[in-house]
Amino acid sequence: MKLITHNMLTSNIIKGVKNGFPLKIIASKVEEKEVDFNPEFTARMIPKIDWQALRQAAADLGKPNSLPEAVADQYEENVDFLKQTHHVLMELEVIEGELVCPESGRKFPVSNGIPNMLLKEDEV
Amino acid sequence: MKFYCTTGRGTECFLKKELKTKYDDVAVQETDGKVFFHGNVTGEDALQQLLSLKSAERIFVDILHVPVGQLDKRGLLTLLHTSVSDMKAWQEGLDTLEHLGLLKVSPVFGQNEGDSHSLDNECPPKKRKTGSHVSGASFRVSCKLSGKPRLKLDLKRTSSQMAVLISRLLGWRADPRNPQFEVNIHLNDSSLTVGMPLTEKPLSQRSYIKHCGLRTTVAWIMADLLAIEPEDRVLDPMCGAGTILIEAAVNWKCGTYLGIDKDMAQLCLTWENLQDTRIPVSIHLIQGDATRVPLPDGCVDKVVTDAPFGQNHLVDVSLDMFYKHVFSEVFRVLKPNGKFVLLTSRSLVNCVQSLCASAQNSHSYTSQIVQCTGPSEISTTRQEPKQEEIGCHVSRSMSHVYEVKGLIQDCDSNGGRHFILKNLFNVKLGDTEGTICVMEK
Repeated sequence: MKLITHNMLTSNIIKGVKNGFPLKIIASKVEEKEVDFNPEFTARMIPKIDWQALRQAAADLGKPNSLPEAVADQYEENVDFLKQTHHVLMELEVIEGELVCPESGRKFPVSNGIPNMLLKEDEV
Repeated sequence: MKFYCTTGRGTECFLKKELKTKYDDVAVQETDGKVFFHGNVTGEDALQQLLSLKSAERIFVDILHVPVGQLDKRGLLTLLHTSVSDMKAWQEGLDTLEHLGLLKVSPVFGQNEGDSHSLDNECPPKKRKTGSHVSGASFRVSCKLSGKPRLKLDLKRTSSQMAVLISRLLGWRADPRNPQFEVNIHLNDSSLTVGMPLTEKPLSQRSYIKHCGLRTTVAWIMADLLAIEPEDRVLDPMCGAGTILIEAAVNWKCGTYLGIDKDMAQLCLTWENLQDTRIPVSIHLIQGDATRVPLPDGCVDKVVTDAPFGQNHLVDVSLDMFYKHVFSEVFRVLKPNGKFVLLTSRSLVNCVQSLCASAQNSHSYTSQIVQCTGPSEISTTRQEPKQEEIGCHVSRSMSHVYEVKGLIQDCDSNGGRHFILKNLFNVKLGDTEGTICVMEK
């Protein structure tokens, strides 16, 4: 699970959970895989990203200082900033671990890089 | 240069559109299950361009196609013999193959061996011509009879007669086992078509998809109907082996793709496919339920999926209920005006219609059903046509289809919380009849 995916995931499908976002990550295995850097793509993704959730996710993976506090002004031309963002969004991958619902504490396992968001009958 | 492609029934119009988009000045003619086109297909990558057609099953050089009237056995045989003996048609077809660099005959056989050295000086070794066509090549005839001709002619005998005729005409050697060329002859009630395929394998067999969950041509058509734009997030909430997502991601690299499936085994197939593609694509996988999508409201631009037909893939609740839940989740996660392209069974179209609303100021449009197939073809599909060679799995999968156009009557009972049904396209998938539904939030 790349952080670009994590940035969209919510546990609001659980009965009684309102936002369920962002899910806290408890990772036991994280991999870094090089992905071709495409500045245009990254720049286009930034408006769709929840920045604070992405920063928190990076911190959960033990990389608290990999992103600035806020999206840079005129980020389209800021190659360093785009590279940092690209790295966190696309190159960090949670292989094994858990995602925790911020409201209910329900844990969702991540195995082989795929988060399992299935619920039991009594949770819906 | 003349060509034709075979397509899944119901998808001819998409291939026509693809050809028109790709080539500025080709003349296209669609018939049932085949699309003929001719024009100048030139340039260094002419062959590559042709082979990259996505909605075609197979592509052939069109040697000849002639209409067939009401003929008895004798008439049919005469037509076959006179048409196939048309040397000019063969010449043109072989010129096209040569132009595409496909007229390569590596070893020279039998009587040609002696003079092969002297020829080497004049022609490149891959091309050996006697007169103006390659001699000594090996070939096989792949004959298909359908409709009345199937009842009137003996397939085996007709095939071998044609093989002898072509062999004499071109100086080629019939070799059913390991031929260098294939000649396809298809005779049905309306036409006789003779062609030579540009490739041995169907175009629909993609090099980048190992586990194929859905016909790749249909997957491509669905992706094309999504009209994916650069920043789009595309979701398949029941992605299975990921055929649609991979087809979309390979051909529309600009998007981000999200695949959800309940079944880990299916996701593993997608994952394996992704390892195998060798084309960097951006597809992310989540194990989840299409009726409870773990995504926030309005976060995806397009949704595409091959929904259960109620045959192979079972759902926990009734199908109607399942579709209702999936539709409400897809509606929730799609952004306003987002597109939803769904493949479903023909028998579930009513269910889809009941979950959709018509356009706002709804005039109740009548659906026009256009039948594109003659009765002859229906009979051929009912009784599995006998066939000799490859291509049978292609044609078996294609049969009767019609296209439904226009909008469906207003059945909105839920105050604007419904999709607008834009289009329905009926396609034949093997023995199953499917419908591609195009909807908008």
